[in-house]
Amino acid sequence: MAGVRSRGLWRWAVVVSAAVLVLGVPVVVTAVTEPTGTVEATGLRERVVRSADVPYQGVSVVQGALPLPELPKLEDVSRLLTGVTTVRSWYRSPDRWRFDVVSTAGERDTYRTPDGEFVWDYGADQVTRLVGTAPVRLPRAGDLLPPDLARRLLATASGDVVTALDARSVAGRRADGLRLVPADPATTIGQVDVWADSGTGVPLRVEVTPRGAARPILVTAFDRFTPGPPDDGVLVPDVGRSSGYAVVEAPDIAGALGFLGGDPPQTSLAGRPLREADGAGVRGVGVYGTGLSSFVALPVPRDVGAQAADAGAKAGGGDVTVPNGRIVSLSVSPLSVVIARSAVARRWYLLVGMVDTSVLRTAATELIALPRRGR
Amino acid sequence: MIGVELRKLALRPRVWLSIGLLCLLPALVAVLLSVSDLAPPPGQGGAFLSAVLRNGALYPAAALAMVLPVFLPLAVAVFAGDAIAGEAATGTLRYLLVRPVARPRVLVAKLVALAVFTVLAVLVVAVTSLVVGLVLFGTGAEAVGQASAATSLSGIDLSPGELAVRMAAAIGYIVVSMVGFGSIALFFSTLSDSAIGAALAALAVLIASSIMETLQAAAAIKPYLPTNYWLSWIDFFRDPVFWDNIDKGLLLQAGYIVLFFGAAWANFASKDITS
Amino acid sequence: MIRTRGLTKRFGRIVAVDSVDLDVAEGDRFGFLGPNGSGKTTLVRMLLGLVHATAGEIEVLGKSMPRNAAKVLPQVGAMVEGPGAYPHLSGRRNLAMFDAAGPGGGRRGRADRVESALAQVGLSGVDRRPVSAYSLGMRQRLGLAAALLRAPRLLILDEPTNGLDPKGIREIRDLLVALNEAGTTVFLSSHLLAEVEQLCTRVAVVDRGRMVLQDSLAALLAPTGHVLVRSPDAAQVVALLDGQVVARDGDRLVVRHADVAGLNADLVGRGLRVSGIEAERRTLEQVVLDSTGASGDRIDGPTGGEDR
Repeated sequence: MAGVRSRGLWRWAVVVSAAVLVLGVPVVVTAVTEPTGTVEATGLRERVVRSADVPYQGVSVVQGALPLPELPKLEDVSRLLTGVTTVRSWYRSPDRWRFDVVSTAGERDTYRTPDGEFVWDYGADQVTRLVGTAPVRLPRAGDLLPPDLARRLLATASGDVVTALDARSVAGRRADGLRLVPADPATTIGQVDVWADSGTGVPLRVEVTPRGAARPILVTAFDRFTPGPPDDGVLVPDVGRSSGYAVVEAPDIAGALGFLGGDPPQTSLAGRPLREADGAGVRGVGVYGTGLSSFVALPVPRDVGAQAADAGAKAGGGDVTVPNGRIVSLSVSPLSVVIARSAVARRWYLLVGMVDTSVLRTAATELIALPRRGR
Repeated sequence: MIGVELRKLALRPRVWLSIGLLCLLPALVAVLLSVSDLAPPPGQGGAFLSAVLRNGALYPAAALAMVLPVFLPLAVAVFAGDAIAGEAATGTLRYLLVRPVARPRVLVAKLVALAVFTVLAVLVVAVTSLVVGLVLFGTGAEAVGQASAATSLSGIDLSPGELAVRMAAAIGYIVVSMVGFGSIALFFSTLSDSAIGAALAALAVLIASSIMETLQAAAAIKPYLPTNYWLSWIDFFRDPVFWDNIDKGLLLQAGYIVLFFGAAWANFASKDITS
Repeated sequence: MIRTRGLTKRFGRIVAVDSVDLDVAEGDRFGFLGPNGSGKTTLVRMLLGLVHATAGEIEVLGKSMPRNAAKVLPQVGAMVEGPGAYPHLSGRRNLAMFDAAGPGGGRRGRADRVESALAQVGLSGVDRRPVSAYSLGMRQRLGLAAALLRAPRLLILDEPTNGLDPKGIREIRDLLVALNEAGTTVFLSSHLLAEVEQLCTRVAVVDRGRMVLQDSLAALLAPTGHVLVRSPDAAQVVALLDGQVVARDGDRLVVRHADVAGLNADLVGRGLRVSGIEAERRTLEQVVLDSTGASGDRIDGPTGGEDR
């Protein structure tokens, strides 16, 4: 009897078709609704740069793949650039937004209000009000949100040419693409791909690929994106009375590294002009160069410098002794880091930027040759 | 048949033993915490563990976070793995089927019993740890003079009512996650006549899934791993509630329940019962 | 009551049941005999819809199985390959569970049904201890009680007296006879010849999956046409019955003769002493051995059975 044998099979057929349906339908739907076509790149770039006033709320995932060693006192930054971070964000205007870095152990929320910046840290059970803003500070998750990162990169590299990329679907929305290839041969960035929401011009996905690499080193994209202003309630840090409250100065690179101040920066290093002096409001911090090939140079205390140099050398960085001191250079594509000790002035310097290490080494060589000046 | 399954569940000493053991771990941790007064440093240790010292009302959440990764799935795997294979081993399966009970009805009753067991286990853990938490840590009233509210992960105070609602939602989510995992064990249970074998196979799935979750190379399949969204019940304690992963998790578990329960049905309905 | 045509079951390449045509009539006490591993249990499982046939047809209570399992099985009581019970529950609770699981298991009357089933198998005085503390015989009785819960029209029992002492076996036999006389058809699968011989009215014999024999017990054990004669004057008897004596062993003779009483009268009439005389009947054991091969669990080497 054929009916006896086939009885079991039709049930499996049902289950297998259900499985195919469950797994296949999203794939098919994605393939069918995947947008195509390009828009004119220069115009799109303009829209992206001008999209800072578009309110939205969403959830984005920042995936960093930098082979970064654990840098002393910079663990937060290296975690951000080496792993996967989920960020919820609510954005009303440049001075009214909030982003939450969520993890299974808690969350860290940053609020920006006209009264200043507030940071809620669940682990510390404390809200911190930050006074003042710094042009240069440690990178944080909010800087790597697609809109912030894309606008910053496109604004910085305003001289570079952009080309159109095929549109794609991001967070279920049509996003038009553009590619920026920096012209400066010294930069380590190969290309920056940006996809921006067709309707609002808000960047939804950014991929940063180092020069010569096949895969992006940093991908940040929205999982969910809803244009329109978020609720006011969400944007106010309404922290319970049982939690702690503190007021501190804005964190900055110099503060995180225990920097105490020093000489004014040079007017140019490695042939690149000083763009910003006394960055972060601290004397001695200089930002050099233009576009994507800019870098930061700052003096650091001896213990921090020595630790960083050792960590860098251990991580496989080049460690050379030069007539005026020692230069440790490390390339964590696309980031280059140089830690230099001046035997002349008995001082440590840290240079960081997305430029070729040779540029930073030249700059370091110039720095360590400087004599110590009095206060 | 469902009533019979529930009566079996209630009359089974092993069920109550496993639930008791589940409650033991959080209770032990609570005692150690209150004796040493050493909360894990912020950002480390289990979720909510650092917060419970301030308010014991949050202890159920910390307790669930403790038992969720291993012990709760272990209990679920043993229970679900026993569902069909255990009946086969005691020889009762054939007597149920000739009573007769239609095979799909047996499976549905087993799934319902699994859900009830999970609800029971999670609820008992939550209630005992609430009692333990309030007794050992208090509500924070001792220090401030008035009961301090429990704070959400976003720092916003939660009233006891809100806390209860969110707790209930979290429990519901955990139950769905566990039933999704249990349906995998139920499927294995129809494959084998050994309850232990089925439970071990389900645990192997759990471990493999947990390992792949941490693997960068497995990023493409990560959203489909059964354990991927298990911890998303924590998102009920954010403000505003972070629904994205909760929704995805519910959808994923629904998929697992449909597929593995379907596979269990396809296999069991046409299987030769030779036990 | 039970009718199979060409019933076949293959497990992979092994043929467990090979085109069996079984006929069990209403009111039969049917003995299904066969050595271990001959496919008895597989056939019983197919009758109950536990195992799906590879080929063939099954009718139970006039309806084809397993399609009509939901209608047929409530009128069938079964015990397959030993009893099954939840070991941590008492016997009463076990029966209540099984009662509640099937159709017609309403809460009302459940206690009565359970008690009457327990009384039938002689367990009415059983206490609350769990089944795990039961003896083998008690479990066997409990399994039988479970089969009797719904006062079935057909009882399908696989080795029901396993583990019972002789007195228990007798009790169960009496119970089955009483049930049969009250109208229940009994289908008994067993490898115990004596059990079948004492209880059954019809017998089927299977060997290696094939049915080799199916007949009424009376027909199988009918007189062979030989008479066993025991006489101190054996030599004279042989001389007298020249040509009719089939075999002789001392004073025992096997005589081909249709009428025992006539032969006796004949011999005595001629002054020959007869110390014993009876018609020869085959035993069931002989019938079975004649129709089956080697023991089912015996595994001979390729060169034969005598190797060590």
